[in-house]
Amino acid sequence: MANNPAERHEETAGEAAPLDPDRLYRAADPAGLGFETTADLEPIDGLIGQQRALDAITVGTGVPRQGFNLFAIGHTGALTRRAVESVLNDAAADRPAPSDWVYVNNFKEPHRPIAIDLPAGRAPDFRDAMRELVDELKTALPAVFQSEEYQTRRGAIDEAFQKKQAEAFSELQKRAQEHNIVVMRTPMGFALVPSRDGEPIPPPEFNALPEEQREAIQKTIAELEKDLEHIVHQIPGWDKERRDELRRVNEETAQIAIAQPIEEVRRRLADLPRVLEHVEAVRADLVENIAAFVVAGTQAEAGDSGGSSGGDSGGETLPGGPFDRYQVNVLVSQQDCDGCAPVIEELHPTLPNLTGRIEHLARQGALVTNFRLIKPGALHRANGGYLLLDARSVLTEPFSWTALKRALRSRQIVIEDPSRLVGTSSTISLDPDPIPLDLKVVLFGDRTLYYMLAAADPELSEHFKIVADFEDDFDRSAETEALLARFIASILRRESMKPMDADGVALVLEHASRVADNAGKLTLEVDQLRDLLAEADFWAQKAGRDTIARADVRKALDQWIWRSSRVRDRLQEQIIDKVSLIDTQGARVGQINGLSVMSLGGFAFGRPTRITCQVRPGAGKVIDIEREVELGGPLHSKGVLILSGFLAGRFALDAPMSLSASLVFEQSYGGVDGDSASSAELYVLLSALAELPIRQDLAVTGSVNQLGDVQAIGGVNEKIEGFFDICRERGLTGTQGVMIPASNVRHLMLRDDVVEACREGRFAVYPIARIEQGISLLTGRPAGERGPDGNFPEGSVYAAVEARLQAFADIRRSFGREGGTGQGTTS
Amino acid sequence: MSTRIAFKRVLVGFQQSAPDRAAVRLAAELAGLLRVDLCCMCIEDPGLSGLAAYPGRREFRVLGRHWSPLDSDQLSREIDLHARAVRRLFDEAARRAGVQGRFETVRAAVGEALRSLPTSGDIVIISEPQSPSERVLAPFPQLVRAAFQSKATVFYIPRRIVRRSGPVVAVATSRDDASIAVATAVAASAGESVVVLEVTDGADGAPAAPRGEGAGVSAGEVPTGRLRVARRALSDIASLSAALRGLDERMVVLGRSVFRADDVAMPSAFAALRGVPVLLVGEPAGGEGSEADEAA
Repeated sequence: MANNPAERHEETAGEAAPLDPDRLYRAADPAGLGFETTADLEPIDGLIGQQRALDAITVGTGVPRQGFNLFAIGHTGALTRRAVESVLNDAAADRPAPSDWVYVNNFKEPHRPIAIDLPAGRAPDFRDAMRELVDELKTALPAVFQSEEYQTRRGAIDEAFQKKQAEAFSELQKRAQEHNIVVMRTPMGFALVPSRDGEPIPPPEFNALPEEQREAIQKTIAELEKDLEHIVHQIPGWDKERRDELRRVNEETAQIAIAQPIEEVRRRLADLPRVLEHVEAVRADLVENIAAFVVAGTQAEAGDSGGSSGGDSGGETLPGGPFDRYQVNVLVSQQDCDGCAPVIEELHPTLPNLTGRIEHLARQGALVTNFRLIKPGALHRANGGYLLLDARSVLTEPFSWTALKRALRSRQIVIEDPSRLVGTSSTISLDPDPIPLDLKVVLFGDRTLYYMLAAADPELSEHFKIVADFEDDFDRSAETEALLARFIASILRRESMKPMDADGVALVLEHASRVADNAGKLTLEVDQLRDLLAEADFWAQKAGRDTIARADVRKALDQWIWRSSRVRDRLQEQIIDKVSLIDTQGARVGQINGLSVMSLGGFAFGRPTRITCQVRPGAGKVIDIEREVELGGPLHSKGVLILSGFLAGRFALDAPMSLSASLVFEQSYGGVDGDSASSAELYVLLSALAELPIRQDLAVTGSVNQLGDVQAIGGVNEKIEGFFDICRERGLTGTQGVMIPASNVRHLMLRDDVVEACREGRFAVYPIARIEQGISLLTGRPAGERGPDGNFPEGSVYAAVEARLQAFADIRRSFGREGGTGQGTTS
Repeated sequence: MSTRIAFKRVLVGFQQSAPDRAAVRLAAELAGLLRVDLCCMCIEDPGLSGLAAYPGRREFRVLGRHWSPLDSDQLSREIDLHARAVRRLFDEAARRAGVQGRFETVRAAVGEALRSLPTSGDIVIISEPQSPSERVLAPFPQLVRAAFQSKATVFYIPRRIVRRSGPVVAVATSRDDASIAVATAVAASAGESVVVLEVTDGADGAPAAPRGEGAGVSAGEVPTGRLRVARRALSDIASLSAALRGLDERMVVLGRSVFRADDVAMPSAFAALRGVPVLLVGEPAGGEGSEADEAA
């Protein structure tokens, strides 16, 4: 590899030579791994190669201050999250189990339910105690109120009231009878009519009576009417007395009836002062609302469930029943936990899933709710522990991000109704007590998202002070290969896959380098490796093997490429069919094979692209046609502008640059960005200026600076393989190859067939450090170095370029003179 | 063996007072328990509709507590509305109880209607009004008197019912007292037990003979308990009520002979004291022979 200084010198000076095939791929040594199958290996729990991130997590979980939440960035796939969760579980074991939280009815303000915290695991006990209390009262209270003792007392009160009325009406009736008048009940009230022998005198008979007699009767009736009116007006007062007396008896009876059950609840929960406070409120309310129990008891006896729409009929009471007010809504309980702080992951962090929600029941066309319909969110469940969230999910859910920040700042959970936030709420809701919040939030996201968010939201650093930046890869060495092998063994074992033999593991390690895009690194995108293992396990199963072999891994890799490569194959087909024009032999002035990489759905592949250049006299401007038609990105434009800088620094030092050149990516109909083709563009520009043909059996990649140094690019393996595939289809000539930046040699992890072709001399990879090396290889002429006389050697590429530029300058000067006489045009 | 009465229908009558939902429901329930038809009589007293013919007559309206002139059209309208309300209530109760219902409008004085229409196979429902004025003033007293003087069995519903479940108590003054068969039939349908309170001339409070023995009463498959009570307990309703203490019954069935024939207040007072309906079986003293037959 290029770490050797001698090798580095070889790559940066002198003529370009094909790279040693051994440097095209770094194989892992199965024998050196020291095991036969992964079953021999001790698995690793947690993460490997992530010390920086682990240290961050340690700080994040250890600092008990506000805002020290974690933002984990990098390739944080499922395995990484699981590993982080495992670390958090360890940290959670050292934290005390948090309180249970319940909501109970607020008897004074029912729309503001009361939140009560209880020692861990006690909430269900409280809930059960209250449920048992209600159940007992549902039986006991009707019995008490049906008892003979109560009925006797109540009967006496009623009877006194009835007696008072009856006596008054009897007296009236008696007086009326004495005067031969009868008091009659009419549909709407009372009427007094003359009678005989207790029966009303028929109206004709009455009308036939002498006038004096009729008047006397009328006078008597008028007096009796006053008495009747007086009695009726007294009735409400008597009735109020009756009701007051009845209420007093009811309260006394209720107090006696509920005393014992309430006392049992108090004894059971004696160590919970806030609960006892609530129990006293329940006692007071029970006395006020005892009728609900008596009516329910009577209905139950009569087998009447009509009208009772609640769910209090069974052992497990459902919300919406008449006795809801005495129940307990256990929001979160640690009863089933092992005494540790909770570690909760919320995969769907909508606002309700995050901060909780208030549900409603339909009752006679209206939506109603009560405290029992308050449901916990992830913040409630994770309170006192850790909450794991995917940053992108939080950000894409309406209101969730701001709600999370509000909760972290105020350190309390306020249940927010989304419909209220957008102003569409049209029904009664609740305003529950906020619950104090004390938890650590761990957000997972990619780096781009984090950096964008950090730039766009200044509050990010306030709430997420700790960044756990997960490495994408780590250095490859015998030790790290062994470590990754153990990690692979862990995945296989945890996911109940077959063990893998050492050959198979070696290929996985090599693939890990390929994924890392660096032969000297191993990727830490463990989820990608896990997918590979799963598919290899599948192929091993199909092949009837007990262990996963190298062939299974290879099959999995090939199948993945096969499934993903439809677009690549179609594009290559177009080149083979000469629809897309790419030459792979011969030479041509102003034309070169550049290389680009396309990435579709996680599959990247290289593709040769023809770049051409035309030159003419002008004002010293290199025209980037891609940019002119807005198909070129800024990095591409930057690369092209660098070419002008290179030319200006190297040629025509004593005269203005009088060149006009146009560069184009032929048959490119999509956007072009990146500067990895800038060296190819410089080569083709020099070719056009020097009028020297460029070899078409070579393809070029690499960026260049103004001084002519060729710089590293990405996707080097895919680019080489992309050109190789075309050449192979057309038949390898032995002269074909790819020029890559020398600094990319360390990244080479080429396919077996490419390496094999290079080894057999049918293909070549040329490391290029300087433009002079590249142009020399492409044209077959030396680039040339300015001599003591200030000129480039005769026959060199640069001499031809400078001569052409000089000619352009002369032409331009001549045009300038003509323009000065008023006869020419300006350029 | 006990005397069994072949009931044919449950008869519930309404005069001009507000219809009592609980009474209609209980009537329908009783019809269902005895598997007989339910018949509703809406009694339109001509005396009432003629009130407006008196010169200058007016009525004191309970709602609003004011005097209002009696207008014949308005009175007719209100009587009609009352009849419709009664019918609605009746139809609903019959449907819920699953019994056959028949609705009749009878134009007669209340007393006359109840004295003449029911037969010995009828059970007449008398529901005590909640309002004392309605209980005291015409026509309720006439209604009660007429019912007790009719041949029909009377089901008296007190204004306040304290229990809707529990055993059915039969107060039996003889071994073949009709109350035993009726109580047994009701209990069997309601899924309740029967307690027979045997009135004896011996010491009171003694436990009765085991089931199927002693009084020789056939109780079928209905769980039956027996108690004995001295005849002197029938002398007043307080004593009789004391004899039932602790039974927590849902209904008391007793013969008319338990109370004095001329005292219609006693059965109603007894029902009010117990807080449960009372079913008075048998004909009034001096009545014609009943349609009772002998049960096997």
